Amino acid sequence: MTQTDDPVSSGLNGTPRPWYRRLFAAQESGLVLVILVLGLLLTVFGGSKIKSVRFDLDVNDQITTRQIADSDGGETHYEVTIEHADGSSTRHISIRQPRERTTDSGRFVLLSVKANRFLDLENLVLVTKDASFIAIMAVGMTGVIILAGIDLSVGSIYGLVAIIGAMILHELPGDTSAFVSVPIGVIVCMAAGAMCGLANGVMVVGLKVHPFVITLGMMAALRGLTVVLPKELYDTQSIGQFPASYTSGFFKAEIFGVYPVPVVIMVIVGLIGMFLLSRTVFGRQVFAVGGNETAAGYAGISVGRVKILVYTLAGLTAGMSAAIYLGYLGAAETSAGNAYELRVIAATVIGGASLMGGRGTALGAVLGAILIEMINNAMIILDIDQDYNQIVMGAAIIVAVVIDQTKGKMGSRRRS
Amino acid sequence: MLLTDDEIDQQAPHVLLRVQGVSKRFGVTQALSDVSVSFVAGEVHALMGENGAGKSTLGKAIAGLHKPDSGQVFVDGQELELGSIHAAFAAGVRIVHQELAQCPNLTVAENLCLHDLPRDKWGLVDRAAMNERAEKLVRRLDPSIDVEAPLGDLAPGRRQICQIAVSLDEGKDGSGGPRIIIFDEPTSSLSLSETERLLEIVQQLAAEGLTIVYVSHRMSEIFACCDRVTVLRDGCYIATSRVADIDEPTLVEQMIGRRLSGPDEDETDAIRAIADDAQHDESSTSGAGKPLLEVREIVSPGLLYGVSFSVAPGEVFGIGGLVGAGRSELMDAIFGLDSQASGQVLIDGESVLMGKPRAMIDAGVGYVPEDRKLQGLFFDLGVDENIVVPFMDRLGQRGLRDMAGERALVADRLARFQVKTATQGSLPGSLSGGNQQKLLIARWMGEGTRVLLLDEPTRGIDVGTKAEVYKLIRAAAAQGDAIVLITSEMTELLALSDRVMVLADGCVAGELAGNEMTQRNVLTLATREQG
Repeated sequence: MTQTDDPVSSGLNGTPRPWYRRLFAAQESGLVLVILVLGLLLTVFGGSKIKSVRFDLDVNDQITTRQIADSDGGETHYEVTIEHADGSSTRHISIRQPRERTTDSGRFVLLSVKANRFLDLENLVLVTKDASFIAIMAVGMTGVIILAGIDLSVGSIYGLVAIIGAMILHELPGDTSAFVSVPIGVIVCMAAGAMCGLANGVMVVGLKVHPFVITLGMMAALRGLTVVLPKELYDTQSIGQFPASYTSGFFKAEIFGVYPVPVVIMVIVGLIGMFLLSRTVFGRQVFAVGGNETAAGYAGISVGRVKILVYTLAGLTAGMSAAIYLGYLGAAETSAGNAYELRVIAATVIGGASLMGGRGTALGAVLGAILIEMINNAMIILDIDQDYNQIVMGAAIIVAVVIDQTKGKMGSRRRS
Repeated sequence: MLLTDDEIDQQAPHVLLRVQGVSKRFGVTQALSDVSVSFVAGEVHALMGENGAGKSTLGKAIAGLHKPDSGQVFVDGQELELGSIHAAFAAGVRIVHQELAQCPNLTVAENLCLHDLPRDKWGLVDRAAMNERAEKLVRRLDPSIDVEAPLGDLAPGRRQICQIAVSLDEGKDGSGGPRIIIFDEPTSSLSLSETERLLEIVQQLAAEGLTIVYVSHRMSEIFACCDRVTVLRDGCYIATSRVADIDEPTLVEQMIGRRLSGPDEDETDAIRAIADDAQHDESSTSGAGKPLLEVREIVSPGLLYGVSFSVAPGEVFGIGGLVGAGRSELMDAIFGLDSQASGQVLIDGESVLMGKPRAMIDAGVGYVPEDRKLQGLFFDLGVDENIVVPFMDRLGQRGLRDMAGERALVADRLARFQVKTATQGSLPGSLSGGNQQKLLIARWMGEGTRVLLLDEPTRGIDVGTKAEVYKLIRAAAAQGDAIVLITSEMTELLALSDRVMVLADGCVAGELAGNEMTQRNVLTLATREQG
């Protein structure tokens, strides 16, 4: 954990515990370990694949290719030398005949290189990108779970917000600048998500009905709205054609050959979540209300206000996630976010949150989402039939929670 | 030997239960070390000691709920298989728990027969047989209980009686009824009159020839109903005495032992002062001056009917009354936790918004509620945050926590109130009951608090901690705080309070001060029929 002056980490006399002790005691250490071990196994047993690497060329660059024999005398390799106009040159190895192409976007050469199927930047970013949609929502869900509540409507909020956001973005001119399109898209999505969450919170607190019931109802109602809205207004099930500045210009911007923006946002949201839950008064009030609602009232905490705010934030994160989805995919479908609530809750619970309330961390939720996507990725890498996915996932959830509970019972002084 | 007591049995007393060299360890705590006690048929035998002395552990070891690490238990000369509830049950050992372990949503009869519901030939529950069996069990103790009523509708005293009734059941295999009943602090949730009824039942059962093991730390109960008393301290056997031969100070000395010779002599003085039925120091009564807390016409539908009082700075204002008289409800209403309540609360002459605990806290009111587990502590948060939670926003700025400020406040409070905890971040569950209570008091007794509402601040804590709490209450009053005190222990109420208001059925039955403050007067007012 990054919190160096957390009171937990120091004894009563004020001497801080050594960093490695703190790291070991941190609640998420087990999860990090599982992720590392799974990653190691996938790296070793996943094998390698051949992938194309693209090198952009200037018009004047010269390419020379030389066939070389492998030192073992086995396969033949190709040594590719690119000589630039300024006299400098770079040398690359390709395992297949390199192909030179010229298209509208310019001239480039495609080389074939061997890459680990798991431990490869492209794959790692892909896995974390898939995780980020779930992880961002899981950060919001963590608050709800700590309250001993539940929010089944996040998947539907995600879907509805995506449609609303898409309708707005669709209306923007195609050449809108990123400084306009991104704030509009993000603010609309987050506001719409927060409104849905607010409605959840107000109903849970005001009507004194169990959140399972309220959010179950909202899940169905919002999904219905998601289908009806585009059908009535556009007579379609999918809305696309956003300004390029919103998609390839920002959320799907290519950096070093990968698309890392969703991952970066996930990290930021995770950090904000950690800060909010541990360092703000509101965050600690969430733990207090979730741990003992009656005692929270006796301690002068406005229980209702805390609850409404937490549900609102859960909706807000669902909206945030939808905004990224729109940018990354460039279109919204009415089925977006179907059954996401279960994956989000799974991520939160794998991350160590207790459905009984009072326990959970934002970091754990993010790691939980990453672990889920890693398991998905493992099925692909290990060439296991996708149909087995759900079975493995279900088992993983139960195992993770049982391990976490056993760890708790073994007397580790856990705090959040 | 002690057993030559003619009250117990003239001809060679029959040792029904013998505990021989029992030891039990929980982690680093040696809960019991080499304890040997004999229990005679037909006696009420008290097990006394501070919290953590091992009295409950011994009771549970006999009943098979804990498996001792070493030692033996004999029932009527037969060695009992240790750690087996079934073996203990078959041998006639029953335990009546401290907490009401029942299902309030089921009927009395269902609760009484829950371990073995009678079935008809179709395998369905035979309600008639069940009610009949329950009726038979209850009749022995309290014939007025309706076995078909939901258990949750009964008063705590009646529910406790039902729990005792379960222990009287003979079991379906006809192995016989109970021979030994262990009561584990049975009166902790009962009112005065309910306690009296329970003690009668305990003596009635002993008269029928059963051995009663009575675990408690309430002095008055020991003297009211027990024949012999065994004192445990830190898991060790100290002494067994006939109650008739021992007085309260000696018993207290046995329980707290080592401390007597230590520097904390005045703790014992505090207990003695209370034990000696409250010698009042007239000079300490302030009375004069403007009231710090003024409560006007608090009304809460069905609970309170116009309660008014005022407390001066430096005054301890006791509230007496039976369970159900509305004492805790009054505190809740003052603190703003009862949204139905109306009336007016003035702190230092200024009216404070009703119905908002936040406003009360900001005005300097602190409230230590009755049930520290349910209403007081956060068991998922550390000791530090348990203290600081109500003040986090006041300490911090713009919603951000002031970590250094919080740490300083916590360190100060832990030291000042001598809360024994491994680290600031330890969970309250790892603290003893007494330290949990001190933790809760430490939350509210501090710079910002001027008015302190204390509801049963000494419930379920040991004698030593009680004395500390008494001192804390007096010290707070000496600083000029206004203190409102609820306690079911009459001696405590009379010894600590400068004035006592007695509630009955949500109304003020009367106010007592000075020489009028006697147990008799409080009880007379408390039991007075309210129009």
